[in-house]
Amino acid sequence: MLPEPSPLMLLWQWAPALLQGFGLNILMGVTAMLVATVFGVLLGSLQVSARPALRRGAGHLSRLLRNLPWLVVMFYVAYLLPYEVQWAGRWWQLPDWLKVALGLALPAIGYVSEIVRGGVYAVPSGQWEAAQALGLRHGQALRYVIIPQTLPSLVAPWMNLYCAVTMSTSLANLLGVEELMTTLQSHLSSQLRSDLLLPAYGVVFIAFFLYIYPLSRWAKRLERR
Amino acid sequence: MSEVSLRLWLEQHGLSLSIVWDPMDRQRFLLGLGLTLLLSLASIALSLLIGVVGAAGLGSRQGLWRGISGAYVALFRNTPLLVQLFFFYFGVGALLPLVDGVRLLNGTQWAIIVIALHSGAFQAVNLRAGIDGVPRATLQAAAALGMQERTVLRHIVLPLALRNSLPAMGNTVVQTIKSTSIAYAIAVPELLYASNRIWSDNFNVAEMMQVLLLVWLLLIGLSSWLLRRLEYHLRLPGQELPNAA
Repeated sequence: MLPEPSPLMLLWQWAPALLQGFGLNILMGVTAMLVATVFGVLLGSLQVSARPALRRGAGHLSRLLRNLPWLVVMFYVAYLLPYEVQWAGRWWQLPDWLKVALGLALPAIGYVSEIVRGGVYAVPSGQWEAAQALGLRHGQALRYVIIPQTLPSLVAPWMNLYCAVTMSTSLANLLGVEELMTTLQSHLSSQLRSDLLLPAYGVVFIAFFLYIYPLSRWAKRLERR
Repeated sequence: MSEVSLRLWLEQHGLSLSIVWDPMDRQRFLLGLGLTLLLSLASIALSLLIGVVGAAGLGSRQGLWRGISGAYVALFRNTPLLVQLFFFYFGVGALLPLVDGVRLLNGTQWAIIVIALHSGAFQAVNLRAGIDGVPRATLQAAAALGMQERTVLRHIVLPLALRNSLPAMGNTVVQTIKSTSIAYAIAVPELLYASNRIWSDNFNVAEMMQVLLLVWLLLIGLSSWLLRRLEYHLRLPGQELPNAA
């Protein structure tokens, strides 16, 4: 009978599959963040629009999106989105990872919108008056004068949000998406060894830490500047 | 008879809300709500305790304590809560001794501990920032009045620091409440888990999802309202935050 391989040896053998799983985490995080950025900037612009009714409505929507637990929203979107959608004369399958990414994007939209609103309010009111004096309309002032000035201050909170979104992609495990933890658990279930559990889950812990910690340190440095 | 007619009316309108007419489903749902509240209260209390100790550690004069607190905060803020929960529940939990044939800590207890550890790291940073935000001149004034270090801490630093930190701490408290739904992952029958059981039995995912969202919105709305009231109640006239625009 062969001696049992040590836990570290086994984990080393699994490393390629685990890395592939982590790749899916990053893909989900990036996709969710792209969607959140596009729609969040739109919603944030509505939150600082010239019309009070629009401003209030967008504010309520943004608060609604931020107020829900990520896990509940993920379930909501993943269960209620159809299995496939018809678009441009074809049926497209919606893979589970994409559903999760879209689900996680929803609360993130609320946070991006809030970041944009905060950035716009931080611009001195003299800038608005100057833009008005140049004959720019509200939308033009926002687009050519105000938003460009807020961009540097948006980077740090945006990075922090990216970290939060990437960490939340581990929730996809609960829907069976083949991300890092799911990959690990399916390997673990073939082993039936209890001495493996602590190091194996430790690896997931460390993998996320090694990816997220440098990013959040970087965001903090940008914040101080 | 009214329950039957209510059921008929709801079903005619395409709403299969079994929690309205089925006593067992209703009880499951209410127990889930109760467990969510219990998880929230317990992990908020524990996370505040951890936050106080952590904030003291982050500002300690001894390098060792500062190092330990800093490492704890960095580790728990930069890893997903679900990963932490699995690490502790499956990894550490498997090493715990058996007492009368069951593990020392059950799922609910682990969920409370891990959520509190996660939120506690955020609370420690919030509180530390509040303490560091107390102006130097205030401390010098207290020293000039001949106050002892402990008196300064108790009567000058902490009352101001708590008010400085309150908005950030309130946000983290709301986050803590939201994160209790993670206990679903280790089969703690809180709201999400209970709803999941109900929709698996009755095939009413869509309806239960709306109910779940509504209950969560009410829960979060109520707790943020309470926190705003607390902030208003504790405000000091003239205490302006340096970063308040």
